[in-house]
Amino acid sequence: MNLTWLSGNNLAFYVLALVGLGTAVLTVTVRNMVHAALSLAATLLCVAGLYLTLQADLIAGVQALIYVGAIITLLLVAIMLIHGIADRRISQTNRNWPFGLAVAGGLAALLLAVVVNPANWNVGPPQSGTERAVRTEAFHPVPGATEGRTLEPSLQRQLNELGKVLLSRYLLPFEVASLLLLVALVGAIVLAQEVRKGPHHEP
Amino acid sequence: MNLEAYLLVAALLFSIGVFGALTRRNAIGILMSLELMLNAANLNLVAFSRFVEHGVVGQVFVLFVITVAAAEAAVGLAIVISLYRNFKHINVEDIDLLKW
Repeated sequence: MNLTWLSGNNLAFYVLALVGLGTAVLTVTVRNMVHAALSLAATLLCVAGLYLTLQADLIAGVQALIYVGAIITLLLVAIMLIHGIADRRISQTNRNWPFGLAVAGGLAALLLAVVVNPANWNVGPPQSGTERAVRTEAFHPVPGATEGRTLEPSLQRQLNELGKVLLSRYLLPFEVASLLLLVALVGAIVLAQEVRKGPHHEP
Repeated sequence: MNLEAYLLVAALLFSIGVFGALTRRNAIGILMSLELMLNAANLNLVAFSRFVEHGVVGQVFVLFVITVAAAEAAVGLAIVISLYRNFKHINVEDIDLLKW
């Protein structure tokens, strides 16, 4: 019972990671920018699925709504407004791409060299051993979670705590974020509006 | 899955984003690569929140990152459209007014 659930989760992880990374490569290499935006949407949905395998349901929903629903739509509208960007005859990468590939490959090698070696992470209490600090137990399914209830008890608890933390300990960043959104809204309107011809608006 | 698998995926995602940001010619492609890098960082935050912290603080931070990413996308695309209105293209190699 436990093992089958675990293997299903592992399978979901592998599929989501492979599809997400593949569509991410398409996003940065494909010539047609509309196709690139749609590949980016697929990547973001795969990342949302990875959030689900990490039991971060609210984050997965927010990711699907805001990234895929809003940001991708905004990108597509901007691509359609800009003439000639979707032309696939134009090369969309600059002539320095071997250097870019070298830098990205070097960065990937550096990151992977750190990631695959958890003994060097320096995470957790130093005396208790990093093995126990960073390698936690695998997922344990809540018994009776899928029958009849609307939410698992652990997820309900997580959501409750998230809301509580967001409106108590992180209340100031929360309000600042809303102010940031307002400022970004006004700034985007000001930046994107047509410049009027007049004595005070020299081009 | 353990923590390393998620960190591996996030590292690869970040590197792909770096490659795109360095090699794309138009500004919208660069913005897309930035979104890839932000997502890699978010994936790391959620993974650490799940496996190391056992709480929700990492998820709170991801919510703020997503908020800032939305604001960045809106302002960035407005700048791109304003650039297109002035230059009739958004090829970042040829937009070098501030270079010399």
